[in-house]
Order: sequence, then C-alpha cells, then structure tokens
Amino acid sequence: MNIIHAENIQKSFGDFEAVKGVDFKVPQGTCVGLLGPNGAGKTTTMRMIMGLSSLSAGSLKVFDTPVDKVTRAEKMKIGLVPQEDNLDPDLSVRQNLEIYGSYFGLEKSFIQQQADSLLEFMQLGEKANNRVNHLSGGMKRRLIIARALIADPEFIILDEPTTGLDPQARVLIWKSLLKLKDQGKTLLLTTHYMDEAQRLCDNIVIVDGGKVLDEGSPKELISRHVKNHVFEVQKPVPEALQDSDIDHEDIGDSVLYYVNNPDKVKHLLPDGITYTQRVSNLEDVFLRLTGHKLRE
Amino acid sequence: MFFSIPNIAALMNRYYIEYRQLIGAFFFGDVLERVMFFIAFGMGLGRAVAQIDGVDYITFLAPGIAAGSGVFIMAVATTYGVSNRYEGSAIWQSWLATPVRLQDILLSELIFNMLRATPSLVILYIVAYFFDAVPSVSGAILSLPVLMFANLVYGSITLNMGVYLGRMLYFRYIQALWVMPMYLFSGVFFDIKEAPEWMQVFANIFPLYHVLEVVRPLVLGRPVDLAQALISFTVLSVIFVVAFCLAYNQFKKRLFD
Amino acid sequence: MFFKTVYALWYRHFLTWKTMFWSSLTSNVFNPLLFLFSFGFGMGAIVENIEVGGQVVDYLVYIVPGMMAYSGMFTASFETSISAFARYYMQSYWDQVLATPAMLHHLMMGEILWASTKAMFAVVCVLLVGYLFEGVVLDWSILWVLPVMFLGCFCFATCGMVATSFAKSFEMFSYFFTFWVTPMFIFSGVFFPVDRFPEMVQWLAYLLPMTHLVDIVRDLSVAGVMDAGVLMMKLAYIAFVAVVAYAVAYRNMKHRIFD
Ligand SMILES: Nc1ncnc2c1ncn2[C@@H]1O[C@H](COP(=O)(O)OP(=O)(O)O)[C@@H](O)[C@H]1O
Ligand SMILES: [Mg+2]
Repeated sequence: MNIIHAENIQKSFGDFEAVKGVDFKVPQGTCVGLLGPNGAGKTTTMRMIMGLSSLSAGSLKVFDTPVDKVTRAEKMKIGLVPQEDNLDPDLSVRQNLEIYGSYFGLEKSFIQQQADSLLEFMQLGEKANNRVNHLSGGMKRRLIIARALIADPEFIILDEPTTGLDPQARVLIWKSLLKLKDQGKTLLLTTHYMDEAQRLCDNIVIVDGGKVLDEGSPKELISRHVKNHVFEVQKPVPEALQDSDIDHEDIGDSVLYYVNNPDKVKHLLPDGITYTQRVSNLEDVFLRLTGHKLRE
Repeated sequence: MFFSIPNIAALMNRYYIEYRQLIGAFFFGDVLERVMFFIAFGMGLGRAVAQIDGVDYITFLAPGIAAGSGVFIMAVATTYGVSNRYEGSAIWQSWLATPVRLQDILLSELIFNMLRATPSLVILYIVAYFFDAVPSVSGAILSLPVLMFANLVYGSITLNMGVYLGRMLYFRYIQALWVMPMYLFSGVFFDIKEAPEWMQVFANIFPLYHVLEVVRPLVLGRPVDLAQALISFTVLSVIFVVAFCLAYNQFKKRLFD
Repeated sequence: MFFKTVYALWYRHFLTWKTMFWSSLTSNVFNPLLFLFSFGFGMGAIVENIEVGGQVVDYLVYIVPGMMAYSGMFTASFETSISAFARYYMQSYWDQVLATPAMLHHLMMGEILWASTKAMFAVVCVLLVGYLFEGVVLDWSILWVLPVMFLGCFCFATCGMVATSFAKSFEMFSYFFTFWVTPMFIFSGVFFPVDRFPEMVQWLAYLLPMTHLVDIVRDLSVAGVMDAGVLMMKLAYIAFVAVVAYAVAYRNMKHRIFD
C-alpha cells in the first residue's frame, strides 16, 4: 500500500510556479527521501501533503484519500517535523509535548505516558522542565521530532531534520530515525545532505526547480548517473582523455570523468597532471543532475 | 569629542529611510490619534465643563494634548523600538562594527524620535487653531522648541527604564507605572489646581506637569513665570544629562560585557 | 470533538497566562485605578452635569461602566491582534497547530474565546475596583451585565482577528488601533455622552459596536433597567458584527494560509 501517492502535483504562488508537476510514491514501511537544492520545492510539497497548502493542480492521495478530504482519524496518523523550529516558546519542554498532544484530542493519561517515553527516546529527560529557548539547536530538533511522535503516528514527515546541527547531534537523530524505521513506521524526509539520504532512505526522489529529475535507490542512482568512480582532472585536460568517449562533465576549472573501471582513465593520464580519484557517491549524482552552479 | 556629527548624520539618514517606508503607519499612529483625542475630549467634555481656568475647555485642552503627545511616542520608541533594534534584529551590533559608537546611536535614537514627534505637534496646533482654541499663535510657535526639548527628556528617562528592565515583557510596567500616570495626573485634561490636594502634590514628580506650567500660559497668551521656567529648564537639563549618561553606561554593560 | 479541540487551544493560552497571573492582576487593577482617580476625582471636580437615564449622577458613577467596557474592548482587541499575530507570524504557533488534526476554525475559535476570557478578567477587575470606590453598586442587575460584556468582548476579539488576517507586519496594527480601537475609546461614550457630538459623528459612533455596548452596560449597571426592545436590537447588532467579522477573518486567513 502507498501512504502517499502524488501525481503531477503543482503549486503556484501568484505567477511563480514553485512545484511544476511532481510524481512520487511513498510505500508503507519505507523511508523515501526528497533530495534537492534550496528552493527546489521540497517544503512546499510537504506542506501540501499536510494540508497546510492547497494544490494548484494534480492529484495527491494520503492513505488513499484525496488530500483535501483527509479525515481527522487519518490526520492523527501523521506526524510532522517542520523545517523551522516552531516550538512553543512560552512552554516548558514537557509542556510542549503535552499541550501539542492535547490538540489531537488524546487522553491525558496516554499523552503523559507518551511524553515520558518520548523524552527518554530523544534523551531529553533531564531537560523536561526547562524553557525551550534554553535548549541547544540539537535538543530543539530532537524535541520537535519527539513532538511529532506524540500521537504515535504511522507516518512521519521530516523536513530537513538535521540541517545546521553538529555531527554528534546528527548521528543521534539518525539513530532514532532508524529505530522508528525498525518499528515499521513510514518516513518521508527532505534533506540536502547526501550522507543522510544514503544512510536512511530506501528510495530517493531528486527534485530541482519544482520537478523530479530522477528517482531510485541510492545504488541505482549512482550506477545510473555516475558509475563507480569519479576522476576530477584539472584543466588543461590531456588530449588523449579529451578524445576518449568516457562519460564526462565540464565544471569550469576541471572536468569530471565517470567510469566503472578506474584503469580506463588512469592509463590516459600522463605524469604531472593534477587529478583526484574517488569512489562515486550520491553527492556526485546530485551535483550532476542539479548542476554545479550556486543556488539562490 | 564625545559625539561624532558625521556618525549621527549617517544614522539619521538610516532612520529616515525606515521612516519613509512606514510613513503611513507612523503618521496615523502619531498624528491622527492625538488629533482625535483632542477633538473628542474637547467636544465631549466641552459642554459638561463650562469654563476652566477662565477659558473654554477645548482651549484649555489644546496645549495639554500637545505637550502629552510626545510622552507616548518617545516611550514606545525608546523601549520597544530600541529593544527591537539591539536584541530583536541586533542591528545596533552591526552599526557598532563600524566607526559608529554607542553614544552616537543613543543620541540619534532620541533626536530622530523627537523629530518624528514634532509634526504631530504642529498639526495639532493647526487643528486647534481651526477650533479657535489657540489664543496666542506666537505663544504656540514659541512652545514648539520647549516641547521638542521636553520630548528629548521624556525619551532619555524611558530609555533608562527600558534598558534597566531589560526584557520586553516588562515594558508594560513602564507604560502602567510611568507613562499613564504622568499623562493622567499632570494636568493634561483638567486643571491640577482644582484637583484634590494630594493630586497637586503628586503631580510635581512628573516632568510633564512642569512643562505644562510653562507651555499652557504661553499658548493661552498669558505671562509666563520666567524664574519658575528657568528653574524647570535647569532641572530638566540636568535630568537629561544624567539620564543619558546612566543609559549609556547600562547599554555599554549590556552590549559589551 | 469541536469543543474538546477548542478547549485544548484555549487551555494552552490559559496555561501560559497562569504563570503571569499576578502581574496580569496588578496591571488589570492598576490601570482602571489610574483612570478612576484621574477622571473620577480630578475631572469629576470640574464636570458639572452628566446624566444617565434622566438622573444626574456623579462623574465617577458615569465612567465606571465605560471603563468596564473599555478594558474589555481593549484587552480583547489586543489579544487577537498584536498577540495573536505574534503567535502566527513570529512563533509559527499556527503552523504548529494546523499540522495536528486541529482545523482553522478550532484555531480561530480558541484564540477568540481565549481573548474573550482574558477580557472578562479585566472587566471584573474594573467592576471590583469601581465597587471599592463606590462607582458602581453590586446587585443582581450586574449579573446581566456580565454576559452582555462577554458578547461584546467576543465581538471585539473577532474584529481583532480581522485585523490579524490582513496584517503583514506589526506596523499595520497602527491602522487598526488608530481607526478602530481609539475611536471606540473616545467616541463611544466611555467618558462622555455621544450626544455631545455633531449629528454626523453620532451617526458614525453608532456604527461602532462599542457605543451600543457602553449604552447597555451603563443603563443596566447605573439605572438597572433598559427597554427590552432596544436592548435586543443592540445585542443583535453586536452579534451581527461578530458574525460578519468572523466570516471575513476566516475567509481571509484561509486564503492566506492555504493558498
Ligand atoms: N508562500 C510562498 N509565497 C511565495 N513563494 C513561495 C512561498 N513558499 C515558497 N515559495 C517559493 O517556492 C520555492 C520553493 O520553496 P520551498 O518549497 O521552501 O523550497 P525548499 O524547501 O526545497 O528549499 C522557493 O523559490 C520559494 O521562494
Ligand atoms: Mg525547505
């Protein structure tokens, strides 16, 4: 079963088309990543799924129900981790969870039980009675994730869950997300960190300029677009390499060559040429598909 | 020198650009509110109060509203406005990374807001003139510099209150414990001399009361007690200098420690 | 479910307000005290003849009902304008709520009912202060005043919501206060009878729901009686403004948030 089924969804703000026809599915029990540079339309897509933004065109089904007809019971099954930290600054850490839970109309005893276990799950127990503005960035993020889990949702949407955090904080969040996956929850996540997508996602949808560029598992995407190895060769590139039919891309000061067998490039490189060689990764796919120019 | 004129000029230009963008909101807030107060209270109480201090109520009211208008504008600007700039948007910090210094910023805030409050004074007098409520036009014109100076003094006082209280949450105490009492008990709406005795004593603590003691006779075209005016002016000047230095020190602590 | 959710939203505000109960009580008592002293005693000494329902009353007695209505009006207006906008715009509180099963209707009703509650607190404070200084008599007719005041506060809270639904920045509220709140403070009979104004101004004053509210509250609390037909008409008008304002605010907000 698909938790989300988006067909050609579009969103315009006045004349500006932020999302220009996006298709993707989120099968139950999987983690799908929406990958794209800033301004690609990721947040807008998430907001449409949550019913926080109406569709300009297309069809979007959430739990097999068109998004504008989603019932209260269905909405209870979704948890959202928004991109911006929007904790309630007037409340303590624990109250943030409890009061948020009350908006779902949940029983008090259930909320308290959930709050206890989530504070522990996100390692926030010590801070339970602190004001939220005294929390560090990483703690705030963990609290927002805990908050999204208050109604024990089946499906969790995470918009850039680790942007701006230090490596330790990110690893901690990844661990808890993997645990959620093990519990059988479905995740939809946006990020522009490739390591994050590679670790967490079963399937990746690369978007840019409001359009889907490609999708597949991380492995599929890598072998489809950037082979196994990447060579970055400084200009001027040797003639022999220039004349070869190896898949390559000019990025200004240097040229990238993508090959399955590294020897194929190596023997065309005379001594004294500056180059780097590495195993290709999702980052190469991403840059190749979305271009190397600076965004926004 | 303690202040730098080019720095202050640069800052004034910066405030002016902001002012121009929000001119509608500022203008209505500053000017129209006061004019409405003047007309409404002048008409509304005019018939209930036959004569006060020997003149029509509306004539009595005009200098009161004029003198009181700056109190509100300066208070809001030097508390909420200032706090927003050094804590909210932290724009002061970016200025302080240039040759602009703290004293330049503080003085510019005061002067700019005083200037901003001035058109509403002029417009108020013009409206009052059409209601036949300005017996001495030259007196009204003479009262303008007095009121401009008074606005600087009010601003320097609330600037201190704001920085010592620190948090925006507490600023409403300034409104409740200083601004409103001053406005209500300094003789803006009624003659303090006819009020109960305790109120007459109480009024003395408010600068607005002393300012009105000078401004009201001026606008009503009556002789001003010059000795008294000089004493008031000296006291207000001292208050201004002391308040400015105190505020400067406290801001220095808050921003640089 | 509707009430449970609205209650949850109301409770969130109540919870944060509770931590500031004492400061809130102090300012709600202090502010009317200032006005009652200044206007009641200072102005009262020079005001000569002021009437309610044909009988001449003390100026203090005259302004206590006005101050009640004013405190309620101001508190309700402020809460759904500046405060609600801060929650909407600066704290993304609205986004947070709308990501849960709560809907925009719940959210708006939660804000409005909370603002009305807070306003009623202010009203009761003025009532008690007025009573202490013998500006108002506490008897059974006061029990009629409170529900009427609640309707009034509800109406002002909804109107504040309209301002919030249009506002793009805090500065915009300057218009709301200048053209709506302040006129209701000075032209609606809080301090002096509306019939002192030229006909045109009176006409405009009676478009403001505040003028009707002040009329009702003053007649009920000072004279203790009011013509039932007139009372009904005035209440209906206040309710009508509230309904229209709610519809406008809802439409606007919906458009703004979801489109
Ligand atoms: N409410 C809005 N009004 C106008 N433009 C918007 C609005 N929300 C987003 N946009 C624009 O839509 C584009 C996509 O934004 P967003 O979905 O936030 O991108 P992402 O999350 O992928 O960084 C951006 O160019 C952004 O400026
Ligand atoms: Mg985004």
